[in-house]
Amino acid sequence: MPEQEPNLDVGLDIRDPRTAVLSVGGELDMETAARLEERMTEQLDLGRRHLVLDLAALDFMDSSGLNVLIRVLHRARETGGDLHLAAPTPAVRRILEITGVTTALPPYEGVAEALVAAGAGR
Amino acid sequence: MSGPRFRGGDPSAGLHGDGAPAPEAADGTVPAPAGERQEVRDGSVDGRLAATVERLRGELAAAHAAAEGRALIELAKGVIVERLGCGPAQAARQLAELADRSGLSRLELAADIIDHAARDRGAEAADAFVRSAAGETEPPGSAAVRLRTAESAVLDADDTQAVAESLLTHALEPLGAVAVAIWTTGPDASLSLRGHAGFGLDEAARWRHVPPGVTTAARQALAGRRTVWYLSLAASGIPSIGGARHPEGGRVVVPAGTGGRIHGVLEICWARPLDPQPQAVERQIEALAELCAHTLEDLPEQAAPAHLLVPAGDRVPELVELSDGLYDPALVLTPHLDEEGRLADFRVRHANAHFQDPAGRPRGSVDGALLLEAYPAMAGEGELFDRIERVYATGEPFRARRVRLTALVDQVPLTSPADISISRHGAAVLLIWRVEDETARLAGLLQHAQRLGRVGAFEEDVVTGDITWHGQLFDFFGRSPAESPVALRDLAAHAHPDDADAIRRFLRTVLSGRVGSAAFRMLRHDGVTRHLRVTAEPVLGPDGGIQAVRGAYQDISAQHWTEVALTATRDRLAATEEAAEERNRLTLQLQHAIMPPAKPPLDAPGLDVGVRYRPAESESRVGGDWYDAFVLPSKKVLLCVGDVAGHGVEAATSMVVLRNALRGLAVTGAGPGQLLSWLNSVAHHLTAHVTATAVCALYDPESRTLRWARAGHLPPVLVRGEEAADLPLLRGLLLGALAEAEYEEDEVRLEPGDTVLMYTDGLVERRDTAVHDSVAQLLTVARLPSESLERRLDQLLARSKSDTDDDTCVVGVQVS
Repeated sequence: MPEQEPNLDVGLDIRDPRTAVLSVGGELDMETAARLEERMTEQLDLGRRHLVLDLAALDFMDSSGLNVLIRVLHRARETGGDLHLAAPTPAVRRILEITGVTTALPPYEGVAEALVAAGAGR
Repeated sequence: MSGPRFRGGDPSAGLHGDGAPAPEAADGTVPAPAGERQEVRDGSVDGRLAATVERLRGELAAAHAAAEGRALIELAKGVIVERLGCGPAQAARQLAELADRSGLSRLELAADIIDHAARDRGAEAADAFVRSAAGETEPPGSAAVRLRTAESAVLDADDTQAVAESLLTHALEPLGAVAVAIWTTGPDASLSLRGHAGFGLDEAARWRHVPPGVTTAARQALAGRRTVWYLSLAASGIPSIGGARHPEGGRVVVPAGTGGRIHGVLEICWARPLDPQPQAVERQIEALAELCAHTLEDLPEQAAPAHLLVPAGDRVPELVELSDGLYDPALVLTPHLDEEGRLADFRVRHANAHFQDPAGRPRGSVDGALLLEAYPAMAGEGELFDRIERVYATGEPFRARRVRLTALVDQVPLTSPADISISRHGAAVLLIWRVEDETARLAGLLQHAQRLGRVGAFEEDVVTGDITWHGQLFDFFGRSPAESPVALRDLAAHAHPDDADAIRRFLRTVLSGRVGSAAFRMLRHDGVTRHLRVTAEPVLGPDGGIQAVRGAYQDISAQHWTEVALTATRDRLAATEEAAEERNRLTLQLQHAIMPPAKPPLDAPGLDVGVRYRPAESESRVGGDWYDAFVLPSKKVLLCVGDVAGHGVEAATSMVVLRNALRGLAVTGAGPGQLLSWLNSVAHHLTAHVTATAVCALYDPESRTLRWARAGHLPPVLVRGEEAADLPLLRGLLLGALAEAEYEEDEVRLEPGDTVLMYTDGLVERRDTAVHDSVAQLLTVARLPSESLERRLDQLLARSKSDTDDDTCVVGVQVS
């Protein structure tokens, strides 16, 4: 089995003091999940309680990746905030459907809709 | 009930002299409703019995004259009801018809019928008597005759007062007694004096009613449901009727009941202190109480004999209606008597709308069952059955908070505290309980998980300092249950000094109002070191302050030693050349230690079960997948595959906890949706930060149906003939994501030859392919013809296109 190069890009866009948009691209799996978790936790610790995760460029996600999303979701909700998923690719959307996450945490069409839901700018 | 039983209806079974009187005593043209005619008789006894019959006839004439024959007719109806097993209305018709046919008046016929009944009962009683008294000093004949004489009189008497008088004259004066009282029990457990002789009218008037809760001699018999002898009433210090006139005299109080229900109490008074009585006398008195019971139960307000009420108690429909209006689980119970008329059990006549089985079974499996069959644990000492029996016998309601309600689940008693109410209504008992609601579901669940995952829960009241330890905590800490539990603030003193900081941090977290957790080494008195993890949460009071801390200790020693073993192995392997090969072998060993052999022996008729586990190639990725297949006590087959997120020992440990929890939960008989819902709670509450996916199915070999649900997992694949399709994507969130989740269920009826495959995503997951396409690829392989299930599973693994190096589990079942 060839070693996989960790392949995950995380972009950060601060919308207001309490809202951050993180765009993830590449593959969210066991190798890369911890990195995304760090970045998201960092934002929560800075008081950005509402996190929008732009999934438009994410090609692959496994159970470890999903686990990170759920952990961060809990942390965000504990502090009165929330995690909002936006624009999943069909492959990732399918994973979210299979795991039932779409019913518990319905993804938004795009970042704009997610930001409205997060109440950003208010 | 404590009295001797009158067994058998065959008078010839008795010793000679106990036979029925001559048929000529009755009108030969009357068809006897029951009872055989016995030709062989002893002359002297016959003479006395003939006299009794003669007396009955005389009294019939008197009753006729006084226009009080109605009581006799009612008695006769009662006999017909008992003998023919019909209702009172039918008995009345039967009586009228028989009278017409035989050309007798109804009154005359009634007298004949009662005569027969008296003879039969007398014979039975005497038979039982003589047998039980064999070896005793009293000549059997005299006891038998005395009893029969008394019985005839009792049966003949149309009110309890007459019964009392007749008992005293015929049966008790020969025993030296001077007075008798017959009490009946009211619905409120009060006692009313229904008949008395020898006490005098004034004394009787003073004692005509004893309110519930007032201790008297008769009350002792009722409360204790047994005969109580007072060799001297004064010595006992208990008041009773006639206590002033015969203070030093002996007393006996005997519960008078039929079929487990006490209708009243027979109290007999002597003028002098008694010596302990021979067994024959004791039995005789109990037999008299039994006679009283029969007359008491025939009292107008008592309806038909109790054992006839069993199939259709008058108030049962009413009670069913009432119970359905309750918001707590309730059972309507009616007595279930054995062949000898003894209370053996209660029949669950109705489980109300809010009924929830403490053992988690569906309502239908309890409704209609016998109580002890449904809840064998209730039979234990001091358990619920005892209380129900008592309420039924005495009519005294029972209410208590935090009674331990025990249900046997897979032979393991599952106990939860509940508030209980038991009350008697007519011939039925209403049992209501309230399990402490919010925690109830979790409590049961936790107990399972505790047992399986070695977890012990605790609760510590911060204000009072009270500590409750559940389950195995005493064992964890190496303390005997007689010792006091260890308080959280003393925990550090029981731990390894290096772990004291971790424990302090944990305490600070919890006392600041958050959920905390710490792993530490527990040093026991006995020198044993255990690795424990404690997880706790504060319970806030109405004012927002911390009222209690509640949580659980988990024994993670096994996990710890697995880790140590792995680390040591890794270190050793680093030094060896054939490390990779060795590693794979050890990986397999680890998995095989955790999982059952490749094919667990399954006794499932008509179903082949095959399983495959392929560990990830890289050791660090091993651990999260599991499969399970086993036959439940219900003969249904539980099938499951699951996948804990993450890898390594941590994931493997969670996997073991979930797999074991599911095993434990499945024996409750719950459906797959409910099981996953519980498993979700286990994952959420017991394993920190772990999510898992699973698919769980129950196969019923009888109906060939497969009922299944999924928790964030790929649905099973059904292969039928040359077709293969995945089952629908039912609603169901992955396990552990939210505190509560519901899981949709679906059912497939399988046909012979059908194969169902359940698998983890290691079989299909590819980075460059959407899941949809990977599954389509799998379906293509599944469609390939295959000579056996085992072959098909090998084929699936061999042709898997997965590239993520994940564990892979497959469970396949084929209907043969």
